[in-house]
Parts: sequence; structure tokens; C-alpha cells
Amino acid sequence: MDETANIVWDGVARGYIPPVNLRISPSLKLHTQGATDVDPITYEVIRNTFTSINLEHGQTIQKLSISPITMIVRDFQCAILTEQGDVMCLGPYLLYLGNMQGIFTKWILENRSGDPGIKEGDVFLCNDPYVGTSHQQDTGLTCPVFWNGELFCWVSNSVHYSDVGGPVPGSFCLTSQNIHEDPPCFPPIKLVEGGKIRTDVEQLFLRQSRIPQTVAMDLHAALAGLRVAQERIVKLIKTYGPDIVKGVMNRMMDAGERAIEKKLELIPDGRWSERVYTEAAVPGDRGIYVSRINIVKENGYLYIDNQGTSPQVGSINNTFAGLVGACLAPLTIMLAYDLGGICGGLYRRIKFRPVPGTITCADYPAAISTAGVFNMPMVVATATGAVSKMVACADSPLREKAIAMADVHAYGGCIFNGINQYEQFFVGMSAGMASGALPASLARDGVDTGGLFWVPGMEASNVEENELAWPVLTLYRRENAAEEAGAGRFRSGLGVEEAWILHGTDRMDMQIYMNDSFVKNQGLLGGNSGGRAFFKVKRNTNARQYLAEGKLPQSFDELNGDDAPIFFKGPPVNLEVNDIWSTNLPNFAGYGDPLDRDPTLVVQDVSQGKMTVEAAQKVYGVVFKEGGLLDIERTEACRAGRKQQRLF
Amino acid sequence: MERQRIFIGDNLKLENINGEACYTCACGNILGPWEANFKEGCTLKESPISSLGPGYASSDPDMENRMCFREFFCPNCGVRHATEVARIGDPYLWDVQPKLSSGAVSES
Amino acid sequence: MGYYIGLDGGGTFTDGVAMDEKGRLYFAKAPTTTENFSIGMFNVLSALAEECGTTVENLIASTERFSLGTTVGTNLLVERNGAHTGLLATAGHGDSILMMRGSGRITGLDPELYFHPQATSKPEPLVPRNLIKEINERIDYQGQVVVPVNVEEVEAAVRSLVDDQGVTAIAVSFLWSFRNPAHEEQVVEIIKRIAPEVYVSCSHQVAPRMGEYERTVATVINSYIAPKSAAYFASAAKRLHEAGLNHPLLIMQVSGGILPAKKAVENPLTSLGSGPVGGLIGSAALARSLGHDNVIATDMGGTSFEVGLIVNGEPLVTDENVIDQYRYKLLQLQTTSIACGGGSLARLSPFSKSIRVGPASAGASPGPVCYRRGGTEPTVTDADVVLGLLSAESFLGGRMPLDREGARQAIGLLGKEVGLNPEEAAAGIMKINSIKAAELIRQQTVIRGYDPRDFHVYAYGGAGPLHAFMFAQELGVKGVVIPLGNGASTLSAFGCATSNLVRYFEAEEMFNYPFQLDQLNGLIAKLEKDALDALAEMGKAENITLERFGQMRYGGQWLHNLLMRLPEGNIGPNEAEAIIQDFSTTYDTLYGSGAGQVSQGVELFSVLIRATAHLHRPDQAVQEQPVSELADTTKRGTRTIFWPDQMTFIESQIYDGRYLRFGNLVTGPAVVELPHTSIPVGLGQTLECDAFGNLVLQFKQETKGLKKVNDSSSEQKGA
Repeated sequence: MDETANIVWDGVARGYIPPVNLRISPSLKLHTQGATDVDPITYEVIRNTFTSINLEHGQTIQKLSISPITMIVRDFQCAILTEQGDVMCLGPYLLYLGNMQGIFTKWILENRSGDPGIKEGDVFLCNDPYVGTSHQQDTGLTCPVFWNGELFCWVSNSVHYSDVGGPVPGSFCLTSQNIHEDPPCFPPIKLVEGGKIRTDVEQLFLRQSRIPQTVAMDLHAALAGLRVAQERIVKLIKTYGPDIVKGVMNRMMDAGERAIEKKLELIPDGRWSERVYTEAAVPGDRGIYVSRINIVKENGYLYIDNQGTSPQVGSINNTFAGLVGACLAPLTIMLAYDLGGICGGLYRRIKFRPVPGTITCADYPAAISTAGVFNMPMVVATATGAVSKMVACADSPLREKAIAMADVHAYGGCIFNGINQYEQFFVGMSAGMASGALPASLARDGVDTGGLFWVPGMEASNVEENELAWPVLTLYRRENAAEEAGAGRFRSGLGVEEAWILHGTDRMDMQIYMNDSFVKNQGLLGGNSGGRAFFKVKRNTNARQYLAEGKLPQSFDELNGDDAPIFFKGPPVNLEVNDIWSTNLPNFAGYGDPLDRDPTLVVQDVSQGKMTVEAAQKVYGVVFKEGGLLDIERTEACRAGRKQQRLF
Repeated sequence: MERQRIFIGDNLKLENINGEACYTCACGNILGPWEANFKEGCTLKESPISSLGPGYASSDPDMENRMCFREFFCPNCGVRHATEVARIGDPYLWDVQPKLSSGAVSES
Repeated sequence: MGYYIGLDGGGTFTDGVAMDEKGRLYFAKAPTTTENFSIGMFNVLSALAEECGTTVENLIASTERFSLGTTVGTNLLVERNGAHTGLLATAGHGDSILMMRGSGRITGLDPELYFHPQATSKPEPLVPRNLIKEINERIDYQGQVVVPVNVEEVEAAVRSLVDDQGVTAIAVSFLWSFRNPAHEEQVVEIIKRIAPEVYVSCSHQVAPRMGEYERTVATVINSYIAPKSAAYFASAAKRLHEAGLNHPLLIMQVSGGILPAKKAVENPLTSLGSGPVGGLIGSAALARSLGHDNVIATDMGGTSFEVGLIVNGEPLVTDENVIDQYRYKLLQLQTTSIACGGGSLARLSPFSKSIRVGPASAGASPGPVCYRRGGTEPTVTDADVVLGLLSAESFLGGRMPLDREGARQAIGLLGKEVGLNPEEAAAGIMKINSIKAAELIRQQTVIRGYDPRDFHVYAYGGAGPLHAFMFAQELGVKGVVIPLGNGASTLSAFGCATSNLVRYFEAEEMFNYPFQLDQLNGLIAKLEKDALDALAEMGKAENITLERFGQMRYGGQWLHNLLMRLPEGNIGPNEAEAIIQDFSTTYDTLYGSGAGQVSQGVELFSVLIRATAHLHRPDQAVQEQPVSELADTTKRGTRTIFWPDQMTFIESQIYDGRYLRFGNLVTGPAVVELPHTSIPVGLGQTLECDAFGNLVLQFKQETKGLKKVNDSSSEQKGA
């Protein structure tokens, strides 16, 4: 029997699950009256305005922030919520950060409406993962919008702040065994009161950081975004009246739900699952752990659980909010792709039955801070696998929206620190890998370096921007080859590899890197899994001699030196003057049997230099004539032979 | 809603065969009844992950050797219906179980 | 009589404007002939000659200045019909243009598509991988050489591209070339030596800005469109000279100026997308005459709606450009466009039971239902016809009668789905379209800290004058100008005719505050000298103004910059302090008090010089005496119109706008019809003709003496 059965989902001992009926202090008046007879034209006008308000909110954050992770990688999200804290629309940014803004806003409604009260001009700050953030760095701000003394709705955002304290630069604490070894958690606290920023609270937050000025700029960018959104909503209410605007909000939620309902009708009832493995709960640990997502579809609803997931351990955990956010990301992409971010209706059709005490739904005081690079993408990937198999069973045209799994651990990112070429301490987060790749879908190939579908607006920085900021020289940054990894009837887009050498310093510490011991990605319905994400270092190389002789090293193999042993998770790696290192974002998952791939697509890859003739034959059984022409007969014979060989 | 046939993958479907819901391959081969994991009806090949190609090679063979790559083929035509990266010894993942008609789904 | 001619070759029509020495304006339009542009060009010139009362030979021979705006570059690019182009890149970085920073799949697309992976792809590559050659050479962030150019490798690469692959143009784009151009210069020399017939451009000249992806895109596009653009300009110039033109042909630039065709071919990227800029320049010229400091210049055509801003008399400048999902940085007058025009389709949204308008468009084919070209889905133009704002009989001067019944049926079907009668549905379509237009304007003004209430809207293009009374009222602007009356649909050509020679000179160099003043003053002096030299080379040494700007941001804000005007003369510590003050005040105005943190440090990362050689042109002719009485010829009787802002039928006056004179005032509800467009004047609005022939729409008039028509069809409501 579960010994923890009596622990409540209160956001303190266990991740907060909002009840259906929130317990809100009667002193807080909510505006609930919505007109039911809004004409279709007014509806469309207000709906457009809501989307553009939220987009403007996001653009403001992006423009004014200074951390590459926010402004370029789009590691943030903003939303408009109903007065009850239900997310109505979210922006084209990091998808898993969407719904959790609803979770922490509901917590605030339940726990802050009496004391200290929720008032006009307030903004609450929260980075407590048990209340409702993915990890401490993704700090949320939420701002109530009032009309005539009544709480009308909320605007909110979650932004990744580059360092929020804790023992390690960047705040990803690999060695944490519990949350007390992590960066601090702040349950919801008023950062802005009556329209004025509380400098005491701001300082409390910034004081934790190694780079308080950077975090301050980003925090002000986030506040500016809220202000823009809040002011525009008030103006909208002034123009059309509160009842009309609320009526449109209600209808947007209902219309979204009906759209999802229609899609669910295309999906048969049933049960689908995915299993993804991870490793190393803390550096040095040789354990292998499981993330599971199971979906049951029944009577027009989806029931999602994580049964079969490993018990919480070390630093590889996320809370309920993370689990929900990660599951909703692929559901948004595969079921709400045509709703332009107005996802409120989607959430109504999904019920979670989480298993607590697990790595994907941990109880207090499990450590959470590394979730942003390990757990969150892993749960997104697990959920993607389950959702894509479910959607693959749907009728057309929904079935074509099934998309295979992307990265399991965060997009080959790396975090490093040291003294830069300007002799200042710096913390760097590489966004070079953010070029991403679009995995295969059921009816078409992925897109090479096509971005990450669960962070839709993301982009990679230029090499020149990196070299200006950090003491490095990029030796090469190029697309991977099309080969086994990500092969299938439809193949994944190609990932990217980037190799570096120090420039302007003689030492740097790599804190976070992605060097999988084994492939973690899973192929979709007969497709090959994606490749292995790696980080590799070659020490004591003759690379500088190459440079002196007028050559830019273009591979590890051509250089002398020693391959450094790099574990999946180890202590910081010291990079020295004659070392070169590379990060690889592998190709993601393919779909279907590679031997069924249209041979002309293989020929196209070969002619575009993406694939070798040898790989074409080995992976796809495609045979060429002299001069690079497709030999159809021998290809068919080769494929038939291979299929027979498989059975012996 | 009653469905006569559900396409799962390109070659894999669930359909009504003589009044029973069965997983079938495009070649006509029956892989098994709806109540069971279709993978049970497939030919399984389990290999070291790195044997697939250079994109899968590991820098930590001890860890990698605890894992395997599984391929599930139609025993009749050899087409590949599913793959898994799995810890050696873990059961096959029962990951797809759609239903031809609405109603309760058995817990697996 | 000498003439000043501007021609704008658009996708559908080629527009022409001629100004004579007395400042009188003549307008003409003819269909663009894509297969041979000269035919359309001479058709317009013939039509213009007719308007001027002379022969085409005479017109051309007596032309003092001939300026041309074209979409040739855009067409070459979008249709992938440019030169077979090779790219030389730094070793290890040749994939940059293919990877597109990972965002090429969605760049420039509607954000709603971001959620839909299967609906988005990367564009066709401009340079396929086998035409990208990597060269061993490397420069670092300080401009120091890490690895010198491998000359043999360059020679081999160029020979392979030219001899084996048959490229006719090459782009050279190396890392950090904008810091130290030596390697690119060296490679260009090699190419010129071994393949002198090949067109070559290099990144530090085309787009000397940080960011190798955007710089490479600019350079590749430049090389890609260069050979055919050059041939096009040369053939147009040749035809005109054969026809008797005695002056060099001038080409419209995105800088808002013109350049001699011979100069323009050196860097054809600066002509790419110059069409909308022509309208903006035309607006700026008129705004000066009218004393309007702040103008929102709007151009609504069949498929798109373009917006540009004039602030304190100056069009705003930007450096972000996207074409076909490729992004590049090039300073140009800012125009932003969305898919929103007469051809935008109105469709049912099944789940919310509401009407969506656009972004899909009926385009030129099949076009709106009322065009009778096979279109079945209702468009914004169909809504205009159903409402009665656009006359079915007098469209294009009566040459193209419209199918009002067909439009009404199509809109009726759509309306029925949402419980609206055809007029109500049409009004809704127009409202939604207007909201989209207003939203784009809002994004361009409010979001950047400008208050639309300080602006006039200039509405031109075929559909602009038709919708201005709605979308401009949404914004609460000061008033609306339909520039040049019937000339509103040829305003871009007017802009070409009134442009000056303009060159931008820019250098990206980082100055952290407190600035290294010697270095900053030195850089400004060098750029100003370059600018003067360049104008002198074109024979212009008089009437030149030099303006200085700095791109500024807070430390680390890579995605944000404010273009600040820098003071004249030597910049000392006090001036530098003032620059910082100006920057932080502007920033706080835009983003709220205290948004910026000066403690974060302020960067001036790029210096820009705009050099303008002011060209002579006659002052626009004005009508001396206002007349208040409308000539009888203007009156065309009345028509029953369903006004979308009132949601009711009103008997409205119809006027022939060709005969409106200075001082004439039209009171709404009315429609002023012109050969190329119509101008609704809403209830409570007035339209006045000014001395220049502009039609000025004013809001906020008291409504009185209206005759409401029985709303017979409203009984269908709710059926």
C-alpha cells in the first residue's frame, strides 16, 4: 500500500493540483458575467486582439531581455488566463511553460486571496516548482487584471533567468540530493504592489544571483511585457464593456474545446504508451531510470498517467506542474496545431492521474533545479511518443499530424563559465544547438535544422555573436549526415554538430553538457531512433599547429591528441588551451521501416550531399547504377532480400 | 462509434477478422488478437545499439551494454513494425492498443 | 516643356507619374508585361503622353529626369529565376545559409503557423550545397587574422564553380569580414583575375553587419539577382535612350533615394523591394507640403497591406528584412506588410461559428466573385460591392462591370452559417479586415511608443482609399489623406519622381559608454568622407546633407536597438552624455519608466551616415482660389449603401472625384468615385479637396439631416 497516500497535493509537501472549485477568499470579487450573445464579428475582432496582445507581451520580453536563452532561444512563455486562472491562450514560445502559469495562478487564488490579498496593480513572483514551475530558474510572474474592483482575468509569464543562485553557476545543481541543495524556492510573493515594484522583494530575488544585473534586466523585461498586456486588456474592456469581453473569452474556451472534441472523435478509444530511459541520478551514479507516459482515450477524454516511472531520486526530478506542461506540449502540436495558441479548450479534455513520488512527479523535498535540461525535455519526448502513436491511429487528416520524438535531453545545450577575453567572469549558455531538427511525421520527412517543435520560435545564435561574448573560436558548425540515426520511411530532419577551441583565454569550465551513454530517443512505429547526443573532448591536440600552418581543423580524427573520457554526468570539465571539444545535437526519430522509403527521396539526399552512396545502400537498401542513377530493379531485389534475412 | 479498421502504421492495422479484432500486417499476416501486444506476434531481433551505425556509438560501453535495440518484424514478410531502445531484460513495451468500438479499455 | 517622370513596375500594373515644369501632375496606368517589361513601360509612357497632351517621343525627349522602381529583384528571387550562384564561405561554416539558424522554417510566417510543424518548411535553397565551397581562412572577433587565405584553394574552388558547375555569379562571405575585410578583398581579386566575366559580391560591402547568417543571405541574394537585374536595367536604359531620353536612367532604392542604373547594378540588393518605399517617399514629399510632421503611410492593394511611418517629417529606417523566409540586415526605409487586401478570403470558422478574413487570398486568379473570373469564395472586395461602397457599374471607369448579385449570393451563404444577412455579413467582413489593418498600424506605432492620435493616415493603393474611413477611425488618428486624389493608386511612381540621390554608409563597431571619443569621431569622419566621395563620383557635390545616426542598446541586448540621431560637429564628453540621456529617455518612453538600467551599460554598436544630394524639381502646382461650390459634373446622384459602421442602409450621395476642386467639401454619407478607386465618406465624416488635389477625410462631425432607408432585409436577421 502507498505509504504516502495521505500526503496532499498542496504545493508544499507535494506538487499542487488545483481542485475543480477553488477556495477563494470572499473578500476577492471575481468578474464572472459573460454575455452569451456576442455577435460573430465582435467575437472575431476581440479574439484577434487577444492573440495580438499575448504576442506583443512575448515580443516585449524578447526585445528587452539580454540573456541569449530568453531573447534567442525563446526559453519563456506568456499567457492570458481567465479570472479562475485557467490558461486561455499562450504564445509561440516554450510550450511546456504554458499551463503551469495556470497552476501557480490558481495556487495564488487559493492561498493569497485572503492574506495578503490580491489587488489591482499587484504582480506575484513564484519560482517554487512544487507550487507550479518547471524548475527554479523558470520564474513565473502573474498579474491580476481588475475592472471596477473585480478580478477580470490574469496575464502571466515564465522566463528562464540565467542564474538564480544555489551552489553552481547557472543554478543547474547536478549533485543535489534534495531541494535544500538547490537554488532557493520562492513561493508566490508580491513583487509589485499597487503598481509599484517592491525593491525589498526585488533585491531578495536578485541577491541570490551571481549575475544580478543580467537577471534584473530580464526581470524588468518580463514586467514590461505584463504591463503592456494588462494595459491593452483594460483598454479592450473599456471599448467593448466587460461582459462582452468576458463573453468572448468564454466562447474562445468553448470553441477551442469543440475543436478538440472534433479531433478526438477521429481517434479511436484505446491505450497508448511510451517509455524513455535516462541515467545517472547524480554524477558518478551508474543507474538507469525510466520515464513512462500512458494515455487512455475514452468517451471524448484523455486520461494521462506516468505509471511505470522510476521513483524520485537524486537531482533528476520534476514536479506535477512539469509533468502536465510536458504532456501538453506535444498535445498542443498534434491536436491544437490550428488553434493559434488558444489552447484553453484543450486542457478541459485532459485528465491527469499522476503517480507521486516518481522522477516525473516528485514529492517534496526532491531536487528539481536540473529539470530544465534533463527532465522536462525527457518528459516532453516521452509524451510525444505516446501522443504520436495515438494520433497515428486516428482517421485522416489528423493522423498525418503524428510527429516523432525530438530530443530527450535539452537540445545539446551546454553551460560553461570562466574568465572571458575581457577579463570578466561570465556564465555562457550555448544556443548554437538550438538549430534543432524537425523529426519525421507520418506523411512527410522532418526538416533539417528545422528548430524544435516544442519551442516554436527558437533560433540559434550566430557564431559571431558567440565569439564576441565568449572566449571561443568555432572550428565548424555543420549539419549532421543523413545515416542510420533518424532513418525511416520518412526520415528525421538532420541535427547539427559544433566544434570549438579556446580563444582569448587558457581555461574554461564546462558545467552542463550532454553526453548520452546510450541512445535515448525512440523511433516511431518501425522508424529508427534518433542518434546519440554527445559532447566530446580531445586533449593536447596539435590544433594550434594546424592553425599556424594555415589550416582549420575540420574533424577530430585528423588531429593528434587524447580522447578525454567524458561521462554522461560528471564533474565540470576543464577545457584547456590545446583541447578541442564538440557538441552534437543528433538527428531525431524517424517513422516507419527505412526499407519502405521512396528511393527517389534517398537519391535526392545523396545528390544533395547529405548522404553517402554506402549509407544509402546500408540503411535504405537503395542501389545505384554507374553515374549515380537509381537502379530500381536491384533496389527492389536488395530490399526484398533484406526483409527475408530479417527473419533468420 | 464503430470502426471496421484502424491503421496504426503504414503496414500495421487493427481490423475485424471473422468477428474478432486482430492486428494484421499489410501482407495479410495476422499478428494476434486485440487483447494482446501485437509485438508478441512479431519476430524479434535484439542487438547492441551501437551495431546500428556510427551515429549510435557510445563513449561508455559499460552503460551501453546494459541496453539493446529491439526490432519487431512481421514473421511473414519481414517488414519492420516497431523498434525499441530498451534495458536488457525489460519487457517489451505494450504501447499501442486502439479499439474498434468504444467502451472500457482493459487495464494492462 | 521639361518633364520629371517616375515609373513603378508592380506585379499587376505599371504606374506612371509625370510632373511638368509648372509642377502639374499627370497619372497613367497600364498592365505590367512580365515577359517583356518594356512593352508595359512604353504603354504607360504613351498614356502619360496623352495625359500631357503630347507625343511619347516628345515626352521622352523633353524628360529631365527619369526614375524607375521595379520588382524585378523580388520576382527573380521568389520565382528562383536568378543566376546560378556559388558561395565561398569560411571553412567549417558553409552550412550556415542552409541551417538558417534553425528558424528558417518559420521566419516571416504568421505566428499561428508556429504551432503546426507539418504546414511549415524551409524555402528552396538559394545556393545548393554543391555550390558552396569552404575556404581555409579565419579572422577573429577583433579582426585579427587567425589563418590567412589559402590562395590555391580559392583558385581551385572558383575554377570548379565556374568551369564545372557553370556559375555566373559568386558570393563571398567570411566570418568577421565586417571587422577586417582583407580576406574578402583578396578573394574578390582572385575571382576577378581568373573569372572576370563572373559577377561577384562580398559580404563586407553588401551588408557589413555582425551575424554571419544574415550577412551571407544578403550577399547571396545580391549575387543571385545581380546579373539579370543588370541586364534588365541596361535594356530599359537602352530602350529609353533609343527613344530619345537624354539623361541617365535612375533606379529607386530601398534607402528611399534613387541611384543611376550604372551604380544600382553594383549592389542590386538595395533595389529589392523598393516599390513600397516609393509610396512612402511620395507621402513624405506631400507631407512636407501639407505641414504634416507625422504620417502613417498605408498602401492596400489586392493581396497585401503595407505600412510605413513618417515621424517628424522623416520616414523611419530599419535594418531587418525578410524575403521568402530568408532574413538579412540592410538599412532601408521601414515598411511592414501583412496579407490583408481586397482579395482576402472570408471563410467560416466552424467551431466558434464566426467569420475569419484572410490570410488566404483569391489573388488575381480566380479573384473576387464579383470579377467573374471563376472565384466562388467571397472576398473583401465582394463585401465592398455588396455594401454598395464600390459601384458595380463604374469600376475601372465602367470598363469592368462587377457581378454584384454573385458577390451577394456568396456572402449570403457565408452569412447564413452565422445567422447574418448578406449586408450584415459583408459589413462584418469589412470590419474584420479593418481591424487587421488597424492592428498592423497599432503594432507599428503604439508598440514603438508612437501615439496614432498624433498622426495622419495617408491611404493609397487600389483598396486603401476604400477602407480608410473604417480602419483609420479605429485608431483615432487626426485625419486621413487620399494623396493626389486619383493619383493615390500611382503614389509609388510619384515617389520615384520626387526622390533624391541617397546613400547610406554604415560601420559596425562597438563603443561602450563612456565612448572612446577619438575613435568614434574618427569613424564618423571616415564614413562622411566615403559618403561625399561616393556622391562626387556620381557628379553631385552641391546641395548635400549628411546625417548621423547610431544604433544603440543596453549591454547585451542583441535583439534590440534604437536608432538615435547623433549631434553634428565634434562629439565631446558633453555631447556623449547627451546621447546617453536621449537614449535612456527614449527607452523609458517606449517601455515604461525604469525599464532600462543604465548600470547595465549602454552600447553604441553601429554608426550610420545618410548622405542626400537634393535634386532640383519644380514645386507642385497649386490651385490658387478655393471654390466651395461643387461643379454639376461631380454629382452622380444617390445610391443606397449599407454602412458597416452604422449597420444600416442609408441613402448616400455619389460624386465623381475627377471634378472635385480645391475647397470642395463633401459631407458623408457619400462615396467619391475615381477611375481607379472609390472613397467612402462615412456618416459624420467630411472629405475636402485641398490646393494640391489631395482629398482630406475628417472625422468627428456632427451627424444631422440623414435620411435612413427602411432596413427591409433586417427581417432575415436571426433566421
